[in-house]
Amino acid sequence: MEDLRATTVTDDPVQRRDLILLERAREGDLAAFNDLVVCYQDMLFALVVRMVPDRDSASDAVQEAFFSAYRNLAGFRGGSVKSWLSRITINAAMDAQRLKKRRPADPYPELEDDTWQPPADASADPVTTSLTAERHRALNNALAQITNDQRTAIVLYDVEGYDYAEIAEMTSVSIGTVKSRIHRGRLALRGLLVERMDLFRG
Amino acid sequence: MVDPGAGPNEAALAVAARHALHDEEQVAALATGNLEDEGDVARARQLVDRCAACRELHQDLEAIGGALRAGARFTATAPRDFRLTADDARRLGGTVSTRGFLARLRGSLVGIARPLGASMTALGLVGLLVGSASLGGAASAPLSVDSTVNGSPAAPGENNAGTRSVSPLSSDRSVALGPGATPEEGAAKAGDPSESDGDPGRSPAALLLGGSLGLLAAGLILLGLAFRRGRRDRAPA
Repeated sequence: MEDLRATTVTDDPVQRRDLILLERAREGDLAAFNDLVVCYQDMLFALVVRMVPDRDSASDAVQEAFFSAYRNLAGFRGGSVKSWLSRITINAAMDAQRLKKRRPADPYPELEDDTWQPPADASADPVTTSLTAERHRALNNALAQITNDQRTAIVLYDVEGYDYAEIAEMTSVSIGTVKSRIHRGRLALRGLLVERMDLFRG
Repeated sequence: MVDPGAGPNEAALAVAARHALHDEEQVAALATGNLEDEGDVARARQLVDRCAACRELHQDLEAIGGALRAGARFTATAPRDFRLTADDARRLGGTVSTRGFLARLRGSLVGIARPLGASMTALGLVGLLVGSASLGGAASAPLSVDSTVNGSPAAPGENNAGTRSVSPLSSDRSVALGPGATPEEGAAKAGDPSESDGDPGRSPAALLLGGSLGLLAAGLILLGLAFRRGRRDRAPA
């Protein structure tokens, strides 16, 4: 097993910390792995809950992702630990979506997204903060109503910032399909938000 | 064209009817930046420029895209603690240390694969050269001995190879049987290659050639594996 700290030269202190923790976890240090869990659980939950808008299913998917990461510690090939964990989590979220699809009698509940925290650097102006939160809530509700494929593509592209090729690889479809899912998904969102577009304009 | 005498409702209907014929997906693709073909971009641009409904759609889609990107900065608090317990770890990774050991072993093997492969390839090449030279020497030496034995050294310019086989096998056999051997003995001996002392399949040079070929192949395989592994490691995670 390569020494990750030696093979991956990085000046980023967060990545250096992650690699040290991962190296220790690979040597059997559970506390080091749990430190990584603590660092990334909120970020990964926020990612999954956008893809799987049912909070319980999203929690289960995140837990499954951490289990999977622990089982596959030896499979980490260097690079960014955050990206590695994100990819495992995205796979777990897509599995959760498929599971949900097989049980159509259990529909997505409306998003009770009071736990969403506005950006730390948001303007202190209460009107702006409230408007931003309202826009976010409306958008999340609309996202919960479009198809799984469109939602996944939109979340990965617009929210997570992956490029078309990466999304195509993660979702096992062509780049053309990814592009069409993104713009059709946005069209569907616009259809759902047409009454509330004043929130988004200007 | 809308009839100037028509009422506002009729005008709106006419605009809506015209817009219904427009390709909204093309406008959406333009707003997302998904159009690559110059012609498609021009057509979509034309729709946005000339049709108020397409323009509004384009603006809305851009606004939604912006809101989605801004939403990335929103964070959510995980509803529970996802840390693994010792029981989880035992259940999932009871073999972590074994797997760690195997991974470590594989890592160290990968580490030496490149130098080992290069050494084996070099040794194989040298062996091939030495073996070929030895076999070439063994093939040419009996030829001259044979010529002397038959009492007629090849005259300069005479095509010796044309009258005698150039095959080292036949030359060697002539020598091994000796000048007193009868043609029957020779034929019997020649019919059983395993008894021939000069069989190149058994000679040290042939063994060296075979071994070198094996070494060369193994070395190249190791180098190939090390190269593949190196490329995979350089690829972004």
